[in-house]
Amino acid sequence: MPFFGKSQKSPAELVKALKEALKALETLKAGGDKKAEKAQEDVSKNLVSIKNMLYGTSDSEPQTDIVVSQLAQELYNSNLLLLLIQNLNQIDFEGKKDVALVFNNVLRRQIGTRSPTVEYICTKPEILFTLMAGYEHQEIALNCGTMLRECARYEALAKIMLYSDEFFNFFQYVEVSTFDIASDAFSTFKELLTRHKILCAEFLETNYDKVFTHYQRLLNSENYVTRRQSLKLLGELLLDRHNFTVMTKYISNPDNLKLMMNMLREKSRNIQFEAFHVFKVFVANPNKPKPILEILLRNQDKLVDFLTRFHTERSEDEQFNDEKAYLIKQIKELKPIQTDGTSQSSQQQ
Amino acid sequence: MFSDYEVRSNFSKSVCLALNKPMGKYVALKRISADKYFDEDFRKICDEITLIKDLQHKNIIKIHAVFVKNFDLCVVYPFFCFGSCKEAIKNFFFTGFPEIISALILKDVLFAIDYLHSRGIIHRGIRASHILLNQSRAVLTGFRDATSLIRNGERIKILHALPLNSAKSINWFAPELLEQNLLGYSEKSDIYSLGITTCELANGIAPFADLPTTLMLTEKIRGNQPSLLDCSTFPSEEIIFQAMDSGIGIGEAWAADNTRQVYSKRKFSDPFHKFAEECMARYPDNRPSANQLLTQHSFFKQTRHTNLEEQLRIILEPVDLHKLSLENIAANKNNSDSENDLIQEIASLQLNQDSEWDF
Repeated sequence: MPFFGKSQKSPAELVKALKEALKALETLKAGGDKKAEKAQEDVSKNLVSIKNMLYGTSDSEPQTDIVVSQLAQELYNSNLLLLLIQNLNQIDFEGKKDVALVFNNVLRRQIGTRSPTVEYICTKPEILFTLMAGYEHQEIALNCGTMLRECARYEALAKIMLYSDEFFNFFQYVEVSTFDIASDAFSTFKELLTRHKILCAEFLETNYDKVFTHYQRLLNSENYVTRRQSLKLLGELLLDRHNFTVMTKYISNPDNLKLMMNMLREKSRNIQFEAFHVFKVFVANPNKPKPILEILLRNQDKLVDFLTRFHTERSEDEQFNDEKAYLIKQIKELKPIQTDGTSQSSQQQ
Repeated sequence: MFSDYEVRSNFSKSVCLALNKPMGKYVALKRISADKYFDEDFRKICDEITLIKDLQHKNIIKIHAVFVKNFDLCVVYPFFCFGSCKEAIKNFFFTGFPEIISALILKDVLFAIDYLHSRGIIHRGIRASHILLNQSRAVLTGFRDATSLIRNGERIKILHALPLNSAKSINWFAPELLEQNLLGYSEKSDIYSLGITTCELANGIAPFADLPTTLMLTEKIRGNQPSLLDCSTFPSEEIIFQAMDSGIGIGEAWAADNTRQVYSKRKFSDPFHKFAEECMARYPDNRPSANQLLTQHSFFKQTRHTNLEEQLRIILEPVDLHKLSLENIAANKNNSDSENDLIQEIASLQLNQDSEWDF
């Protein structure tokens, strides 16, 4: 089509053409005939034009800010972003990636300190929920993943996702049997739980029981990678000072301690190592609740012995060895709670 | 998922030939012991898988399935009967591929590179060991160091950082990538690597293989290019013997070496030499793009009326590919002497089945 220079179309024309093609694709989807093929081609072609407008190509620069802002405005007014995401599985392979590229670029748009696209999506949260549900469809899961992680960078959008019921679907998504999708879902899950420290801490505190009941399942997953990744993330969450309240709550539960002690003995060395980083928090806690202390005391000698022989080949990892030495010392010095006993006996007297 | 596969024969410690039982097809199954990798390295493996999953091109390796089995990450690839071009050279083409086969392979690889570059991806590891070959086409693999120019919602023009796993590919790198200066490098550095790969395919050995790294770097920065070894670039026997007579220190063994005779007797076409030279131009701006090479270069004229399947058949005709059956492979799997036979058998295997399917 060299006579109809693609870049000559105005943003408004491009958006209109894309929307029409999408609508055609939407109504024709059952058919799979030539008309549907044509609609799909039109969608892809217009997507490429919009992408090139925003990114430029190896030989051309992106369009000026004015054109880009016109384009963004058209995208908001036409509701095209949602439409694209809703029909993502109808779009061809390269087109799906182009949707993600266009979305991610428009999302990052800034006017001064404002992010107009973020504001727009806040008024249309179904965009986010449609993207999250994308993990249920193999052929669009990874495309949705890249868009979701871009969204998660913005606190306002992360908040909508975290506090939605749909968020808890991630506990299933991260464990699906298709490795690449599970792994992508986990990256998004992690981003949502760690990116905005204060938001995340608040979320974890208010939803502690629900989140950690679900989380327990991940730690007990049959899938080695799920187990390993979720254990590592748990360690990161607990050791983040923003999550102090959550950490205190977690290390007061003897079941959690038992789980970590069992994980210290798992076959996988990586899981042993990650479990160590959670286990150390239980031991380092200066105010150990009685049940925790009792478990540690019951296993005092075994733990000292076990830790002395634990990952001895990591001789070059100074921090690990310091921590290990500290834990061994702490456990050796553990003493049964005297105050309880004395107070009880004093009451009897 | 794992129960769908039956391991038939091990190619190496981690890669085996497996039968996908429900489909009745052969695949290459790679088992990665995930627990051996620390987080960062494991992340890199996952990134490579994600990247490949995001590409769809007939000359780029496909991943059929990825799943976790115990502590292993299993990656299922289509099966390529000749292995990598490097292995094919070792097993069949000691002095390099014939020009027509090199041309057909390079054309396939260029299709892949053109696709990657149009998507803003730089491969950064183009070399013969990253090109897989079966009886009908070549595909690009080895995406561990590939990276995208499109990041954070915009397209960047140049990169500066060295690829993370660069040590092994260093001889293939473009001078501007190795120089590590402010000018950085772009997708054109892949074209340079393709130039080095062209020499590797044609000569049977990779350029700079015996050179200390610093010397390799100086050579490249000076703009000295390796060349395709034929009678126009390689001294003939007579010249060598004359040189020996005149007392220049060239050993007899050197001159008598069979491969050197092959080099000095053969003749590559001028467009082939030119193709390699243009790819290895010292400055990236002087190198043609993948698309220009594909559409405009006269080197590929010879490929118009033929294809890899036909050419490989002509060359490998003496081996009766159909005679050997599957059971022989299983019987031979522990017999290292029959390694070459094994490859032949495997080749025969695939001639009888489609190489494509979708899960």
